[in-house]
Amino acid sequence: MLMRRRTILLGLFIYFGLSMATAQSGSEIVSGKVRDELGPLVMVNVIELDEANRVVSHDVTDINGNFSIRIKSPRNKLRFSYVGYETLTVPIDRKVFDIVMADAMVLQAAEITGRKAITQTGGLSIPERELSMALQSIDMSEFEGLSFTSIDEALQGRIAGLDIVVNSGNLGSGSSMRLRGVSSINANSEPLIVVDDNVQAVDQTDFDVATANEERFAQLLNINVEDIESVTVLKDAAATAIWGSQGANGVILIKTRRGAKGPARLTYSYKFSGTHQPKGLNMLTGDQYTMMLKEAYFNPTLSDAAANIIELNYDPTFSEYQQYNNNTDWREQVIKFGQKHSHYLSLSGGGDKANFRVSGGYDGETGTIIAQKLDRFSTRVALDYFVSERIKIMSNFALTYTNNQRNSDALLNLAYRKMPNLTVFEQDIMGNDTHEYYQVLQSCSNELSDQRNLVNPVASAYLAKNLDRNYSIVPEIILNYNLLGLNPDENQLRYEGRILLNISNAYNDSFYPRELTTTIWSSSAVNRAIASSNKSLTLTHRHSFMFTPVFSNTDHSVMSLLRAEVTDGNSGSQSTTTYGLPSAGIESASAEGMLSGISSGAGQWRSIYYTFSAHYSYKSKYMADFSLRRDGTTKFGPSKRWGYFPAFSLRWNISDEPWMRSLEWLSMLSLRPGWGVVGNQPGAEYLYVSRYTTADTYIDMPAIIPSNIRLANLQWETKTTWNLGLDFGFWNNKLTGDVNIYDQYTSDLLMSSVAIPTSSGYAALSWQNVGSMRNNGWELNFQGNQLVELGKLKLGFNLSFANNKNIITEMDERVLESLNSDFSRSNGTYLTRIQVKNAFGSIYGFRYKGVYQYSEYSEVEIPGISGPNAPVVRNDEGRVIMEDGEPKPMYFSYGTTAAYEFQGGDAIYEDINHDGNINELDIVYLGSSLPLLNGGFGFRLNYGRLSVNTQFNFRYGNKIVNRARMNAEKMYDNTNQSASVNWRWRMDGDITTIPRALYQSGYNWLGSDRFVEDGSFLRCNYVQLSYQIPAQQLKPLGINQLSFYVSMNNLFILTKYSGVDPELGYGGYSITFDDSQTPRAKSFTAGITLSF
Amino acid sequence: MKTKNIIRNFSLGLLLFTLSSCGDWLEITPLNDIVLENFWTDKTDVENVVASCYTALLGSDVVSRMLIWGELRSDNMVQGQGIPDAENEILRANILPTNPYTGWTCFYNVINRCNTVLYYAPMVAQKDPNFNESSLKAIEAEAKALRALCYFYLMRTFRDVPYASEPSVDDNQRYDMAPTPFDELLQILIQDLEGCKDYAIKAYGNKAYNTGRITRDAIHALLADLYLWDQDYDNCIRYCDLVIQSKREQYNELNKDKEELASNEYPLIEAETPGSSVTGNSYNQVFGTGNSTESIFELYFLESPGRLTNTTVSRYYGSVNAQRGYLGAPDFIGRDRNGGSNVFLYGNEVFAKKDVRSREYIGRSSGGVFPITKYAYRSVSNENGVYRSTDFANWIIYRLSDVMLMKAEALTNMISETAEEDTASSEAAQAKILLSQSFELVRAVYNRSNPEAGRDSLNYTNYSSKDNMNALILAERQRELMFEGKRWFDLVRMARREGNNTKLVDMVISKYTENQSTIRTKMMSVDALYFPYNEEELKVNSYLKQNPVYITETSSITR
Repeated sequence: MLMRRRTILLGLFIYFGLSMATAQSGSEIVSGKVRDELGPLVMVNVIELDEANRVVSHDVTDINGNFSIRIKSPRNKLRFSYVGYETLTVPIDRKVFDIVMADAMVLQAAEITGRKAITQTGGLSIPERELSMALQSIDMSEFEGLSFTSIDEALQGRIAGLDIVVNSGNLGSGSSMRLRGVSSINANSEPLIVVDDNVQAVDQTDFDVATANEERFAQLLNINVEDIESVTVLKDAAATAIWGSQGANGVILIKTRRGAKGPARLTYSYKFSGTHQPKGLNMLTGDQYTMMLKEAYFNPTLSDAAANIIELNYDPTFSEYQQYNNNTDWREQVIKFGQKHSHYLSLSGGGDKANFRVSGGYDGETGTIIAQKLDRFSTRVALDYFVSERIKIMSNFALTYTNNQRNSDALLNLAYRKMPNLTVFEQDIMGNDTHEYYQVLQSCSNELSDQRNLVNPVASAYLAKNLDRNYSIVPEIILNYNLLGLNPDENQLRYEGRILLNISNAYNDSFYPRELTTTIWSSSAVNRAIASSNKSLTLTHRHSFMFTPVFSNTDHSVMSLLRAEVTDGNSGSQSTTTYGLPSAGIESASAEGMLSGISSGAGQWRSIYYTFSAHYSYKSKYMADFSLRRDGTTKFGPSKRWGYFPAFSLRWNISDEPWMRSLEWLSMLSLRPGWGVVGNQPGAEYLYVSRYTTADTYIDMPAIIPSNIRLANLQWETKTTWNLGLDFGFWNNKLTGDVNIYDQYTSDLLMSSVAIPTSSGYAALSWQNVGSMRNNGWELNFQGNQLVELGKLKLGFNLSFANNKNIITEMDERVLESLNSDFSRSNGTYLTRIQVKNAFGSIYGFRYKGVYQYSEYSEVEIPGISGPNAPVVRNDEGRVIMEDGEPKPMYFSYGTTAAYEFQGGDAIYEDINHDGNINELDIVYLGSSLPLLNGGFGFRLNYGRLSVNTQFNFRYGNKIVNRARMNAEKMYDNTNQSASVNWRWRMDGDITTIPRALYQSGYNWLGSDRFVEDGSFLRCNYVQLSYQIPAQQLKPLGINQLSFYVSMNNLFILTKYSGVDPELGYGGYSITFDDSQTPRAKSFTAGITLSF
Repeated sequence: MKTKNIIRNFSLGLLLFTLSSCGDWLEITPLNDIVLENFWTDKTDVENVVASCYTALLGSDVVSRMLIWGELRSDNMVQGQGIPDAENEILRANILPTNPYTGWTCFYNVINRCNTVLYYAPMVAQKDPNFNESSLKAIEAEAKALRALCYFYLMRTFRDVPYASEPSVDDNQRYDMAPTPFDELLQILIQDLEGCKDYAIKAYGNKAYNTGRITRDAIHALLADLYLWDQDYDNCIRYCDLVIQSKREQYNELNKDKEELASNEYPLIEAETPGSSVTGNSYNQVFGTGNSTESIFELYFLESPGRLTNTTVSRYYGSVNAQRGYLGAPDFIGRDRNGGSNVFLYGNEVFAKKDVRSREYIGRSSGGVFPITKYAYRSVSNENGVYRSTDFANWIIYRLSDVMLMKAEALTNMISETAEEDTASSEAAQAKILLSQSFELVRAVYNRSNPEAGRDSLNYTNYSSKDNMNALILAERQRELMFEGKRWFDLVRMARREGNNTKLVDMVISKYTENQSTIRTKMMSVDALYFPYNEEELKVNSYLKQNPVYITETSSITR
């Protein structure tokens, strides 16, 4: 076994081009005898070791304890080893040996390394107290026992300046992350994820298969949380510079667990989580809904005929009467209690020659929406083999298989919109449910055509199929070679070579059966199956040289690193669509049907970079770091292809100064100024060439079209960052923390689809550099590990705050023009303005002032007829303006085709300029989507073996447009509305804040502050209780460790926000909307961990 | 020994560094596309891009604009079933610069492809010996004709439009440019076509190509149309005659064994099937099957799965699935299918009692809408239509009857204004000849669709003045070319000729049942004949100035 592995390794040496060509220098035979005090020892291992402790030849003693070995070199050593005896190493200084071995009476004491704590940075291994960059790390042992699907959930609220927003509560939907705000317009803003020094993200630029955003962010799902040892977030350019253009949005470094020297240890853990949906809007019942709708149809024209819609009439002679006379709570129909079972098994251990860790996990999860199911199997193998003191081989292998049964339609969204008087199952004439799902017929009243297109969500859940399968395989091999210096007092030069393959295959199979559509059979929507797949393969190889010279004056220390990496990847995708399959039982796109589309695509990407970085330290008190990276990409033309990204940072450990020594309580105080430049590249390939693509044929002539305008001038987006950091530690680092102040200036902002005159034949240039922006802010982070110790009671806490401000400093005027839309005079829209010297995300709209009580004006209220609260124009003193003895009526957009005279029951918008006309001149600033402050805090309390752990996160000072509520209160179409519209204005004199129902007319839901809400919140992410059984009680059972825990996740949220969850993504140049996506579920988890 | 090894290893490592530092390694080419540097090498490349010019014309955005720009604002169309807002706003004479149909990208896309062909084809001719001078000239004529056709649509819709004759290749070029005035652009197009028309292919020897691609006849028809707009009637007649003559020759060639058509007869397809009195023959050949002998240029939609379809017809007019499309015919036209009278002057019925076209082009009223069935019917037999089950109706751009009526219009408008004052003058005599010539043309078109009415149902004496003849021609164009995207342009041409919109507005207003006075006021301005420039286009092209009737001054509203 061992020999075989060695041959494999030998083969690898040849691959690396680095095999030691050890020359044969004659051969001598040495022999001897091995014995102990009692006599000769049989089967003692005798090995010849070279100076790097590599085995070069081998023998065992015979029955008389004799051995004889042909040695390779007299400068080597011989080592004798035998079970139960102390190993002996002797120089080859004679021809005949007489070896006496001693009993190993005492176990060797564990070696305690005197090394300083090292924090991973992806480059040099710099001691923590010498780091001059802005970064923050978390050890995963802090999260032991918590149920997280992926690491981003655990990080939420823990890293100052890292804002993590869960995309939605759908299974496998992942999250989106922003570090230090948004510093780009369209270029990717997600931080780089690096696992064991390898970039995790697969470049999916050229995947055309409709991969929804959700999956793109879900890449972290491929790493089992249990496999993670620690996470480090690199924040400033000085830290991320060695990741160059990839790290422009920050870097999240994940280190996975590896085996360690010691006995094999088997750990098993099981977790069960139960999840449920938080309560959303209360919706109208069927009876309330039909009443509201009849009013909505009646009001615009005051005609009963308009409201005479047979589906709303409860007319028993109507053939579909039983289908339209119900009170269905659609939301209740699509939600359920979700469950998650996680099993995880790991085995780790190691010895002199090798360390290993093997782990496997299985998660089975059902969602809080019906018919969602996610299964995931992941395994990871890490192996370290010490060939000699010079050579170490490491190998990693990770595989993740995900099987995600998703819904074909957005069920919750449908449930909120579907008419509640409709039945789920078709009912017979007596009103009993049959087994057929009911769909609105094509022959329904024309007014209800929008409902006709809303599929029955329960039917969609159970009849349609949408299956995602994903395989990700990441094998890696690493060779470490000490070229110079085996001892710490010599100059050291170390080489590291890595080869990494990243293989990802994704399949999607979907089927949409006839039962869900009521269109005719020949339609391409009937019995439609789609099968698509895409695969990608990335090969990365990296070569690093680390040089650490030794100075005679030990006050100086220097480390340096030179690295090159080459990545070559390609991808392919294909998709087949068939429709009109003969029956709903046949769900495969390969079955006989009408073929409506076959498509395929292929992509390719390459990159090269070189990095040099160096660290200098004087007495571990004054530190300087420098790095330079040269990045090459295929995305720019030859003249713009290479980018140079330098960084420079300093650190001064003030607390080490002699004059600070007297302050005993101060264990660390340091100042870290840093500067650096990073780049960003567009998300598409082949931009600088003119491409000709095949197009549809004309008659029988094959056609080729010029498909783009080539971008000869496109260049790197660069971000220059200044960071000033302060680290502190008190009372022997019982309380530590850091403060960072930063300023980021992004120039040559990359923007996609920049509009150009379409008389060019193209609507837009695919990418352009359009301007610059500035981000500045600060971050505060405190950690107190076991800050308070009272006997068995220990208390720790963490706290982080961050703030970010963003300003456009410069932008092409025409780009600004095309980004800013004009007031469209239509309901439901807010204006966004992107202006130089202003931040993104500002919300503009009308001011909502309630509802006109009366149509007719009178100075004194005549109940039921007229009153002062009527749509009349008032001057700035609040006096009614009279015209020809009549009060001047209030208009919307007078003089345009959208002109509308307000009536009683209509929304009141503040007439800012008192001109009696509500138009774009009355639009005001309503707030910003960007939070003033965000962060999190947590406590950890230990009492003996019992511990309680909590974590909170918060956001403060941002505004959200609650579009979900807007759509549920607009009373403008046939979608179901929230129960609050029961308070709507119905007749003259009603005092209410909800306007009247108006089907397809009026301006009752213009973008106004009525739907702009404060998005501040404080969320309790989790409370966890865990208990560890004392070891001595477990010993008899052969168990090392046994612990139990329970936790409540997403326990509560304190907010004034009226929607389900105010934690919504923000960023880009648009404003934050709540579109009632599946909210994050609330859950509890119970688990057990067992190790042998 | 040891250092030697180290040096060897180190240099191997460095070698890897240097190997990978090769900059060319980053030069990757698209896997699914061809790059410019490898393209334009032989004749096939040129032909493929020419084909793509046609493909672009098949796009539903182009065909729907041909319909919307050319006819939606006219008196031929009202709201049908489920009309989207954008189209409805145009119908309601409320065109905003935000309306998507003010967008013209798809036409400039065709233009850019033509420009690309015209730029690169001469270079290919130098490289590829198989690509000779005459093929090059023929392809250039084809590209120039398609380009001119697109500009012609744009200028009739927007009046002044930017004229680009260079391909858009890279981001160093400037794409914002000033619009070229209508008359100037008309001259550019005429010059361009005059210069290339003789190189165009006369016949491809393939029925589909002969009508589906640009031929010399197609260029002549387009030139006739351009001259008609230019009010250069001599040239218009000259080119109309060339087309009519060519069609006649083609007819005689096809029917060698029969008697040759006399020069005063026209090769129109008769409404009745030869040898019987079943009507629908001309409809079936011209619109049902397509590529008829009467056709000069039409967009060819190949009936085969996975090919580009003509969804414009099924969406706007109707299909077997939804017999009421977005649009319908107004009542005053629709009710003629139930029997009109024989008086055709404006203000009365459009179709005569027995005109087969009224029942071929318009369906029976359903839900208060007269559905449009032209193109939507696959076939008609004795005025009973059968809807298409697939969206593959060809879209006709020029056909013989159009050209004949163009000629009639040119002849009539050659009559000087003074001719009618003095009936004895030579001008009056000349006018008489012109009027009877144009009457003959109109009657030929009219009679083939009125087989039962008899040869003399259209009485010359009713139309013996210039105005009346113009009215007759306009009415016949309305009947014959109804729903082919021509009517609004006919009205605009008339308004331009007359220098005011009065007549146009009188005609168009008849389809409106409400807000007539507002619409009348709105449409009286000469500028209102044209669409506004799209708002997004104005933002990125500072040389464009919005058509003044569409500038809203919201800040100065006073009551």
